[in-house]
Amino acid sequence: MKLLKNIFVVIAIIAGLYAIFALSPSTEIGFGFFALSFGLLAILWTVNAYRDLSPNSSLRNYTAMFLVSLVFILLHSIWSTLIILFNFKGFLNYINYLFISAAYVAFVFAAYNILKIGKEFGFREQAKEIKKALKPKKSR
Amino acid sequence: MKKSGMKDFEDKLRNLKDYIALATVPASSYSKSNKEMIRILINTQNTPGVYVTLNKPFNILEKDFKISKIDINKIIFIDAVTKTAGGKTSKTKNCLFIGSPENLSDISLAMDQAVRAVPGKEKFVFFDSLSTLLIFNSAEVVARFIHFLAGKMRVWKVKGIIISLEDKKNNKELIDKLSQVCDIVLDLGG
Repeated sequence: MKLLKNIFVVIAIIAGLYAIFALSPSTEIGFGFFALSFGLLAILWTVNAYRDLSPNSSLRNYTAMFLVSLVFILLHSIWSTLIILFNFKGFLNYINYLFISAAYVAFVFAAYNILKIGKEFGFREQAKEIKKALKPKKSR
Repeated sequence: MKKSGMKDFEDKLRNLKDYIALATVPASSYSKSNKEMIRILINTQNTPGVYVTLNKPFNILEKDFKISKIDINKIIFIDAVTKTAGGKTSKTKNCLFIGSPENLSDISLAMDQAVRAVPGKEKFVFFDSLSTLLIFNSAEVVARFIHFLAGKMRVWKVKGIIISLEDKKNNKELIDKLSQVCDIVLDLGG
């Protein structure tokens, strides 16, 4: 039953991707819509995770930063598609760089958050101490 | 399944590699019973593990355990009290201080990481206590959390002990519900 469901999901994704590229006027725009659809899915999953996590928890703070990065990446994809569609020039082109730069800045904050989580919730040193404590003491 | 007394804890659970036990303790002997269970796990069974405290701050537990000659080097403590009380909360050799008992995401994350870090096949998880969790969260949230925790304990294959104060008024319904997901209910009041 699970296998059947997975096969159905894969077929649906392939059909969706085919439809995106078939309906798009050019391959560039097709890739634009492709990126948008996956970006939206990533944002939806992240928002759901954010809502489920406890307020002020480390994971929730990390999720929030990750969400900001995803939003800027999505904005970058939307703007890239708009540039192709409407042939933007000059200043309107630079907005795209702003979006991708903001995404990287948010990623740095998210990475810093995950670094803090690693330090806070990592128990490597404690594990070493337990290993030492568990070793049978040699009798004289 | 209802067993009574600390002797049952030692006898019935001694030969089990992994289990989930819900232990109800009267407030009068709460501290003594907890220490005794940890003493059996650490000193008698030589099992390392994780102690999650929502009730007593780590520094008090540390003193108590040292007086009782329990080797605290075999335990990773997760303390969700001290930060709430505004005490000193930098990570120590044995303890991680996390937010408050409301912060269930951090408690789960810390437990998962700590249990996986403990070396060896046999380990324990001591959750102290369900009653404190109920002060900070609704009964429904606590029931869901303990259900989740029980599932995790099965995956981790640990000796899981969940402590609850004997409080027939507030806990009865919840304990009845949770006893379904536990292997044994220990009444340590006898």
